[in-house]
Amino acid sequence: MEALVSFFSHYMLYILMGLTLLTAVGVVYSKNAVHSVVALLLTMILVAGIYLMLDAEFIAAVQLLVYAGGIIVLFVFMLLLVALHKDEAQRLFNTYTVVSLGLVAFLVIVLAVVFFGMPFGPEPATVTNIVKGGSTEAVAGTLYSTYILPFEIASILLLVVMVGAIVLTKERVKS
Amino acid sequence: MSDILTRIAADTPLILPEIILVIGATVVLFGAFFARRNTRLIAALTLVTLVAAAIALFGVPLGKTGFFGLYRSDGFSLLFKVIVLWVGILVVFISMDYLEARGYEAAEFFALLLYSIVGMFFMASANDLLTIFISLELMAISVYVMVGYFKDNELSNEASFKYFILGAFSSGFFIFGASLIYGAVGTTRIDLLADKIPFLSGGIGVFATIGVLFMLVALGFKTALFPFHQWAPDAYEGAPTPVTAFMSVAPKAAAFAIFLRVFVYAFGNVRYDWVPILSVIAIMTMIWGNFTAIRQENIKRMLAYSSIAHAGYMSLGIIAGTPMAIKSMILYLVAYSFMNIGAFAIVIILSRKDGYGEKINDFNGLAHTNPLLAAIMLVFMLSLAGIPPTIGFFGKFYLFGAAINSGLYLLVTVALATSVASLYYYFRVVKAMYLGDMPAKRTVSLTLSEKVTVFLTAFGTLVVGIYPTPLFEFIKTTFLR
Repeated sequence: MEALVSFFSHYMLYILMGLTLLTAVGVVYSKNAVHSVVALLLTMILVAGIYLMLDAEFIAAVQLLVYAGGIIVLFVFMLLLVALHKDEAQRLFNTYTVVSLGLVAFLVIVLAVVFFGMPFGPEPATVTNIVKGGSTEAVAGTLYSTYILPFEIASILLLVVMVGAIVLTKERVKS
Repeated sequence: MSDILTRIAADTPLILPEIILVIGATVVLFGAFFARRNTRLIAALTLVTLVAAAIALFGVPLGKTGFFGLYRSDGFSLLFKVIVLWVGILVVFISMDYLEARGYEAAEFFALLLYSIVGMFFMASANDLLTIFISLELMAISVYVMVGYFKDNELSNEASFKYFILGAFSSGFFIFGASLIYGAVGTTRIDLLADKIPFLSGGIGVFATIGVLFMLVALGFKTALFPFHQWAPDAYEGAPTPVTAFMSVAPKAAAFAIFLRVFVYAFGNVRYDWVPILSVIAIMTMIWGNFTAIRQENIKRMLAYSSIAHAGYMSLGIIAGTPMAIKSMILYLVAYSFMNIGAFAIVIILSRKDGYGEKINDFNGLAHTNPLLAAIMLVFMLSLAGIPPTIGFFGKFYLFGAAINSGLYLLVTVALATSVASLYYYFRVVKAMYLGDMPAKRTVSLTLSEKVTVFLTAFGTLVVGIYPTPLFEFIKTTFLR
């Protein structure tokens, strides 16, 4: 039991990362669009898990609410509206595969060059909860003090978005 | 905690004009309940709000930074805010009768106009990439809705949709670039970025450079510079004409304000990284905008390409980056607001419900039926082409002069050559008015608000063109504060 706990506490992050990659590949390679959406949902939840492991519980909660909650619902609505089954007959491996493999290889090389060119400092001993009181309190404190101005502008922005949506969709009353 | 509250309270006078605008916009929005059919009352409320904001604006202390460094009140932002308010007032005048004649509700329209002006105010003063982004979105979303305001008109819908998709795309570029820069530098404040960016090492510097390029693309979209201009002609053509007049000047001015703030101030110390790219973009914009405008038959499309070309000239001010060049660019924007809004006002006066007046051919014989209107349009066209004695001449003169002082000989040569080419399409309108065959007589009658707009813009174009000193002095003294 001790060994199991110790194993998970050391390797949970890597397990989550691996699973995230697996489900992300599932998003791309499943032929049925519904399976893709479910795989995407799992990816989002697993990413939230990674955030939790990194002591960023606020971002984890937002990730769950916005992505797993909101964005996935939008995708499901899209599935209802668009006839996707036509594409099921298409082959997954075609000429684009070669092009995208080349692009991905290029991107990996660029990122690797940048990564190894970075002047990293000494390795941090342990990563613990960096912020006193947790990241939620830290985010709230910053949001309501330093970033109060953009926060207030965002409230006007939301009002404009609501007004705009109503203006554009409401049936026109002829005068 | 109370310390934070006192600091916020102490900074609140800085945003008094914005607060007045938000309150006014909300009152106008509620006009949908108490004055549904009364366009004039709502327009009057909007004008009162704009005038009150203008009065408050001149009482705001300058040279101060507030809200934990995120908001900067200086002469630079004041000048941009004055331009935006001035354009807002003119647009209220030209859109009143336009909306009433077509039976569209005025309350939401004017409320969105005011909200977009709030966004532009914050854009002009924002001293932080995040604040810039949020206020940019506030401005942009209001304008997307205004472009699609004529719901029964398919062109208006299409224009709004295209503008929205490309605008959202460019906002994505902006926020992605900003996040890369934040990751590399560790701050989003403009003043801190300016100090820290030159000292980035190796790998991190690459990230920052990519971030700068992303933001260049995003701001290129917002100001409609060459490879990112495709949305402009469609959006300008499809939008209700008063909205076209508004979005060709005010959002462009605000976008140039953040362009200057981000590139000249924050990235000014690494300017050799982006100046060559922006120079190529500026050259292509001037050539493409001017030469494509020649082929247009629709005057709104022609003015759209002309506004792309003018954005190309104005980017000379960013490339030069000296205080002189920035002042000249502000002067150019003032000139552009006079002549462009004036030209659109004439298009609005000519166009009635059936869409007549949007083709260049529709101007045939205007000099015979309405000699005065034709003469005023002639003045605007001369000014847009940059011929004395109009304000457009002085705008070009000082801008190109400042660019020459910074050694941008190639760019100024291209600008001058393309200005000559621009004469061709501006004078197509003049030719149609004075030499075109007289069509069946159409009576053009002006309402009071249209008379006011045409008078103000024509008066400004000519008077500043003949006696420009007071305007120069105002810009010079305000900029220094």
